[in-house]
Amino acid sequence: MPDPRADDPTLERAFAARERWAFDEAYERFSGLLYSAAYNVLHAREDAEDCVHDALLRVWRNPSAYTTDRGTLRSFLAVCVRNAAISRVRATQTRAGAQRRAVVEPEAEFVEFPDVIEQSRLRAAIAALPDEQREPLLLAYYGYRTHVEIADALATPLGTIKSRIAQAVRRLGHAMQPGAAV
Amino acid sequence: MNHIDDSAELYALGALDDLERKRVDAHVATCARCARRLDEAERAVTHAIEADPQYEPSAALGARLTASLDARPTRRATVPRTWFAVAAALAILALPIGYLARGPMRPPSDAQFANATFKMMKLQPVAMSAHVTYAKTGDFYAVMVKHPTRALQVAYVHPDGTMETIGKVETHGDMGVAIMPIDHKMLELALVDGSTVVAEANLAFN
Repeated sequence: MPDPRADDPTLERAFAARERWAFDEAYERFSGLLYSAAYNVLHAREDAEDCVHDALLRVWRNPSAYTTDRGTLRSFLAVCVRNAAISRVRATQTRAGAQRRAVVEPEAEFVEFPDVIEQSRLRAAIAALPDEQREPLLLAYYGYRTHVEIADALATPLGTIKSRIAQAVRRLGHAMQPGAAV
Repeated sequence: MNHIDDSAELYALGALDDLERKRVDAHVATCARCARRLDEAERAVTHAIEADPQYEPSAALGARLTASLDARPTRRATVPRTWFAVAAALAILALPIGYLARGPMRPPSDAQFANATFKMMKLQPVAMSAHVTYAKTGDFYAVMVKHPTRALQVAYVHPDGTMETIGKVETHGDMGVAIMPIDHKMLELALVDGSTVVAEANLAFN
């Protein structure tokens, strides 16, 4: 099987053109990543599978959802599924409930950390962020807060929070590029 | 919409609400510069997703997806984009006028009932039990919500992803109802709580 992390313009063009084989191939390559993206937010196997199912069908049935101009298919789908999972959390349960559920209802079988080196690089990159950027970043990624909620929680102007989160994500992106030093 | 700027990173991180996300989707569909910025942000966040614990879905998920794809042809994928553009333009022009002129809760006429075919489809995913019943002709739509707990609105999701509020769910005992005599075939509806989409339905008119 091709490296699932590598860009594949042929697959992306075919997916954008709604060629059925491309859907099957994308699922074959990315299902673990997509399911993990959902499960790590929802912490329930059935909910996570529902989320992946509905998000993928929604993308597939909307011809304008993904085009090759939109970027990398793998990242697009991963963020799409994760955002769908976050919407479910916001819509159906309180954050306190979600956190309790995360503790008491582990259902899926843990597989592995696929790349310990990458994980270490990410942690180092997050640790290297200034506090003012790291805090809102973590509230967004692990707390599923919107930027409006984060600005309120940190008593910081909304524009400032948006800017700090954007800078943090860009710094992470640069730090995680191949060959980059954290 | 202006360029999305810092909203790209917020989108990738999951820090936008559903309506803000829809606006970003609509913008990047026509702006290559913002699409590139969003792609970079999504690549960065995907590194974080990969660093979280990894799991595998059950085999049933793949089978379920296959069944869903085989069961329902991708009608919207086969319709020319020009039709969507025309439909979206017509909807933007016609819906508010029709909506205001006929009122949000006016029930369908006897003639409409007599000539229409009804379809029922569950809105999903859903935090409460909800259905939409609509005329095959696209003449009107009725959304019913069992035990509504919040002030809900019904929105038309335009083909370009933008959303337009077209009705308000009014509570009658244990049921919430929104009747919308809108003469337009809307392919996608959403149930919205504040700025959060709590349920969606794709509609077919064949």
